[in-house]
Amino acid sequence: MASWKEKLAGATPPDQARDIAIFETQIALRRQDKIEEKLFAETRLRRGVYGQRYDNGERHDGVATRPIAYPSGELTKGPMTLWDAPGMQRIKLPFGKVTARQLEVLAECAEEYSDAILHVTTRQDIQLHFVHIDDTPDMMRRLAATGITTKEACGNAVRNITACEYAGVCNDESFDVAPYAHAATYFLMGHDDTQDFGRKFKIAFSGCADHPCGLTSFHDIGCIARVREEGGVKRRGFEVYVGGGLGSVPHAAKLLDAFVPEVELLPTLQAVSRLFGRLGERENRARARLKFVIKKLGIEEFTRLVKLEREKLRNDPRWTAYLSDLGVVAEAPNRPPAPLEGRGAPAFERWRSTNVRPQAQPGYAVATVTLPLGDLSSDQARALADLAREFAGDAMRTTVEQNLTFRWVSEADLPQLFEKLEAIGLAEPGASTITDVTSCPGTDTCKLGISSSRGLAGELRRHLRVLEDTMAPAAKALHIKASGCFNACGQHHAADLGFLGVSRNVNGRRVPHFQVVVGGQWSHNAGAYGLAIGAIPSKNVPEMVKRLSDRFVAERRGEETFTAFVERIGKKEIRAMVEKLAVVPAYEADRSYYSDWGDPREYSIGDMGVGECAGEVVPYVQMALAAAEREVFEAQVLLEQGDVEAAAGRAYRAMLTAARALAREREPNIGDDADEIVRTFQREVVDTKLFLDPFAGAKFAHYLTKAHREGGGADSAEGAHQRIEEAQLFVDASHQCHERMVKAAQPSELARAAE
Amino acid sequence: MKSHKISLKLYAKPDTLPVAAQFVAVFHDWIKEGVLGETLIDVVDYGHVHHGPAVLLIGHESDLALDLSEGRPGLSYQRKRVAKDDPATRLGDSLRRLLGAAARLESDPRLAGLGFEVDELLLRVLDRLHAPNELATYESERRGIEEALRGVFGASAALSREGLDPRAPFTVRARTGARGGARAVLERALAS
Ligand code: SF4
Repeated sequence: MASWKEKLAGATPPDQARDIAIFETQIALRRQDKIEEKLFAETRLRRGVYGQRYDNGERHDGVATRPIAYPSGELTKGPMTLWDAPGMQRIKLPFGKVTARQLEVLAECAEEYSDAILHVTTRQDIQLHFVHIDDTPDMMRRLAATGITTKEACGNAVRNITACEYAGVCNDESFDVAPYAHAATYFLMGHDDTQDFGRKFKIAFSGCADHPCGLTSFHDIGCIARVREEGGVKRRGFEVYVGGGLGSVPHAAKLLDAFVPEVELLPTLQAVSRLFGRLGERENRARARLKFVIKKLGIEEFTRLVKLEREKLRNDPRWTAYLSDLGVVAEAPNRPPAPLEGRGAPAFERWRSTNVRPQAQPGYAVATVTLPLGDLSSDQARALADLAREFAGDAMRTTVEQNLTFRWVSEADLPQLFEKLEAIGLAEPGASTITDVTSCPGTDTCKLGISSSRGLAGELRRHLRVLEDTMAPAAKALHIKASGCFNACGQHHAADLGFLGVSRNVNGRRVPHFQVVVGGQWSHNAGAYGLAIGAIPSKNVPEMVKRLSDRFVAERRGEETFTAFVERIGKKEIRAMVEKLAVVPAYEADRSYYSDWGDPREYSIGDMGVGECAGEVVPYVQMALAAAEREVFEAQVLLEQGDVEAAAGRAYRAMLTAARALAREREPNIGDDADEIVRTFQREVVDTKLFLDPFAGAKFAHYLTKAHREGGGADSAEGAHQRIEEAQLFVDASHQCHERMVKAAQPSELARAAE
Repeated sequence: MKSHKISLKLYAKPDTLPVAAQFVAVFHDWIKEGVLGETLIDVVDYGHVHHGPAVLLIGHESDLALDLSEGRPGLSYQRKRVAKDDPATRLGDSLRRLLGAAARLESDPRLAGLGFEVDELLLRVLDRLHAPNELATYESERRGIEEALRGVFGASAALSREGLDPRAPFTVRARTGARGGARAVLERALAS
């Protein structure tokens, strides 16, 4: 078999196969410098293909910054991002659902294209590191053949939609939110109204308001399941929050609507998305998230605009079609329910006390597999796939605490499952306790990392596991989270004890530090955010954790939470504790302070690069015009291959793509039907004289109407050739037209609204 | 060897392995000193992963790892990208690179006592498209593997197919019959 493309031809969903083929073409075009690097960067980011540390071709080796001789030379895959530099592939797992077969293929991809490690993120994705861009199309094909997509995993798009890992089996939920998260994922993915964002957009679902599994308060949109009784009938709906986010300026989401009926969920998400696309900031990337739009307008005005926008939306049958099939993500156990009688061995009981939670369905439990730092090897992934089939009816979910859950485990099977997990080194207790430290990638792989959050998390895990046996239960229940920089991907604001990487200059030398963040709340969907109290050297963080947790246990009043304890004793007190540990010994006295955890190089911030979290702001219309150009190129290739009919059709398609992009600037509800595109284009762009070329007049517009009238095809190679040339001219004219439209644009709606 | 995605592992002699953190420091120095003659990028510490690649030296063409898989520590060399070699020589070249790295580790004072068994080798092909884990792959690759091993280790090696799980990579275990340390084998190979 010559290629994965051939081998998986029948197994890849046609839409995905086409999208991956498009990406492959774009890779080829970029190699020939036929796509501008910024545009290509956003294209790859929207497929989850992300940059990684050292991809600018430089690395500080502890003494000096030296070049890395990537063989591709000057060729780039984005601004200051060299082609041959390894990158990260983010893989979406909507609401964390993953099957045994999917886990096996992820393991294969990790082994063949990455470093044989799968990493679970704080947003339920999987990430593979050190991947070469040339390998990504095949990897995507292999994943697509098992129902996984990487589409819009990064970039200015709707990212992985997350939900409680207990959805559907939880005792406290109003109802199972997974089918709604599933519907929202596939409705918004690639949707016109989500293509024009200035930044990323995150959505989360929670089954209840009290527990932290959904973390709705720090998402752009957070949906909490609610049931309302009306006229004796129970109706499902969602309490919808908007404008939450962490980052350097954390914002708690604000209530948009206390009850959005289920039939209104998707149109509401669409209306908010469309508004964000239109009103969101573009120039200043630091203020381009939805939270800033809401801050500027106020939640009342934003709510009014959402309602107005909702009214303007063109009806879409997909809004409600999924409601007749809410079983789409249903799971079935493969073992009968049975209670677990008696007590097991101490190691099992210890694991059970922290890693097992009874399901709403009697006789079944959810077992959490603690993944140290969210990592597992390909060998472990294959073994877990076997165990999921054996014990969990193939039902697994990744969690926002970077673990993996097995659902539908018959309680009687728990000892056997534990034993088998032990054999693969994955029976560590302490899920969701103080030892289960979560962290973003930090300086390990992230271009923006300042301090080693993973190194710190690893050290804290080792340190706390030694102390664990002597710890009071209140201390064990604390949550610790670390981020490598202020972007807060480690969600440190929402932990009892959060750490945020910073650097400090001590007598002319850089020393890795972490800000100590306290007062955050993990419960109630991350109900409160902590504040930074002061910075201490990285090497003193374990001691800080020990002192704070000891003090909490010693001075705690009754059932007081850590957040309440911090509030009672006051931040000044904690600041005093921080100050005692803020002192850095002289370099000559203790050099260990001048290196980061797990990295013997002398510490430097010289490796920081330009992050890609913000993506590249490429408006929808520009992406669509680039797609039209690519279609013209594809038409040429088809003609070369002798496929006259397909070549002419693709050239016609290119004109439709460009025309639709321009028309959509004036009529956002435009559909995909060719008649409608041509009609709307004529009305909104040609009749308004926007498309008229100063020299050629309406000539180029006629190319589209002629091709449309003729049904797009051609009966000879000559005819196809002519259509391709016309398409090329049409796309060029579309670019000119777009420039004229931009020049003529009125002040933005946000500016008007603010006035 | 049809595929270039070759992974080779030499096992550490029992009780000679220093702590993993020492490898982190050594690999960082290899990048600084540019010792391997290929583009080296970074060091990754996965010491927290059970039986995983505990410490990885990431390169452009290939990676090296302190490899704890199977519960048997060793040094892995993994070729990732097509090098300038041809299919007939790439396995021999990979073997020499593995032995070169092993010899360098054996002589590093920070890893004092570390030694590798040169009479046993694990070969995996991380390429399920061109080398699925099945008998047919073994039959078509067997001679090439034997020849490459003879070219490096001198004697005829005894091969056996390992791990018949079709999901796993194609894997062959070789008994090379070689004696001495990695450097001695490498020097013999280079001299012949
Ligand atoms: S918090 Fe900073 S270091 Fe961590 S992943 Fe995000 S951007 Fe990178």
